[in-house]
Amino acid sequence: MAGKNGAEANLVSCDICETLCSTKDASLTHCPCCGASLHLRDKDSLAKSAAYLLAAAILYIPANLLPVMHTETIFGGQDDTIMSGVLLLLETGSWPLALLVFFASIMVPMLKLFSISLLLLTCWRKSTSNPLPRTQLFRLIEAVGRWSMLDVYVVTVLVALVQFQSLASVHPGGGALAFGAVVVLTMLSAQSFDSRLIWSAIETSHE
Amino acid sequence: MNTSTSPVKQTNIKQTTVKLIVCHECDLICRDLELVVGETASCPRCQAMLYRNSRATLDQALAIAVTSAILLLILNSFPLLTLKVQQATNNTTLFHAALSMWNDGMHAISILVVITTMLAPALQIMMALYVLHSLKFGDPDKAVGAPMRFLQKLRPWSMVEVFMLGLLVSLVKLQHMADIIIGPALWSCAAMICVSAGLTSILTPRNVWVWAHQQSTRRTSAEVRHV
Repeated sequence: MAGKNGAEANLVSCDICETLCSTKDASLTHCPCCGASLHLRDKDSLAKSAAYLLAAAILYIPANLLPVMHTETIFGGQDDTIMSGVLLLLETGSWPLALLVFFASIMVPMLKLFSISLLLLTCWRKSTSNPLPRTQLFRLIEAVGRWSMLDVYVVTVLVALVQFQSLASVHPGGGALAFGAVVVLTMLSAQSFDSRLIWSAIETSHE
Repeated sequence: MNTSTSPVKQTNIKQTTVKLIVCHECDLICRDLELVVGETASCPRCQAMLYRNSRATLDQALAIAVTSAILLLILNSFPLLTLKVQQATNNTTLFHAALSMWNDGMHAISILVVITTMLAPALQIMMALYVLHSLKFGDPDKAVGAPMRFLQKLRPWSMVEVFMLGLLVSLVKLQHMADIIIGPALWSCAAMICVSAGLTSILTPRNVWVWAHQQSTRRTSAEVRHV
């Protein structure tokens, strides 16, 4: 029994308490131990994930082009996009910090958009190659995804703190909204992707 | 883990002879082996962590949960940073930061900030306290499933550590233009990240069910003695 797949053996493990349940009994839709709903594979996983991803990809454009914040000082106003914020940090701040922000706000969302598309495509085509690296890629996406919220928080803190009427003030721009939406949508996309689908292509090819 | 030929009852099983566990990430059936304390079992096919034998006890988890509740309270009620420009000072708490976004017309962002930095962590700690409390003092078999499920779903949306990093980045951005005083909430935030990381690592569904089992056997044996 060990070494087979749960789906082949008609066994499903409860997501919450790890109780093994049989899928042969159709009336058993919830875990008898903790009451969580059971599902072998989420049927619409790929479609849901793709829908979130598409929405994120579209919003990724305004997120990068529109200013995330507007700074008003006695010397005049200034609009900052995500990239110009990074460049500003590079000039005034330190390069490690610029690198950090660049990584969290530009690299991670891009990496997520590309990687999830790659995973979705390979799962759609039922590809059997490199399942382990693909699983590891998915794990990486889930781990780093939330860190791109960094810029949204930076803008929030600056808007709250820098309010000195005539001297200086910071206001949020539309880019921040689009950027926040990209982060949430890519997180939802990764969450709706069922990583077991990477392996189910291999299961069927063995039969 | 090699194939074994042990029979499996096709009902709602808790295996008695060979315990089995299905990998959450790749759906491989693995044998559920007893581990030495500190050891971790991972899936032989996709290398996902299956379970860990931690030494943590229910009392430790309860203590950590109470600690993070106190730290969360401090984080929410004191200023994070205070900014001094000439005579003017300006400080902000977590809620004020979200509120100022709202006042600037960014309602969606404001709600997002409230959810990810205030609501999700608070719910997480409340749920943890509820689960641990009912394990310790209530009926261990009841009322744990639903909150554990909710807790698992909530986990990715609590982003206090990302917020902390955001604070540090803003701190560097601001240090050129003003004097900054670090508020008590920032220290509390830092402490809470460590404490709740500890809580997350021991408040696993597996541990909760182990504790529930321990508590109910303890209770039955106590009742037997009483009779």
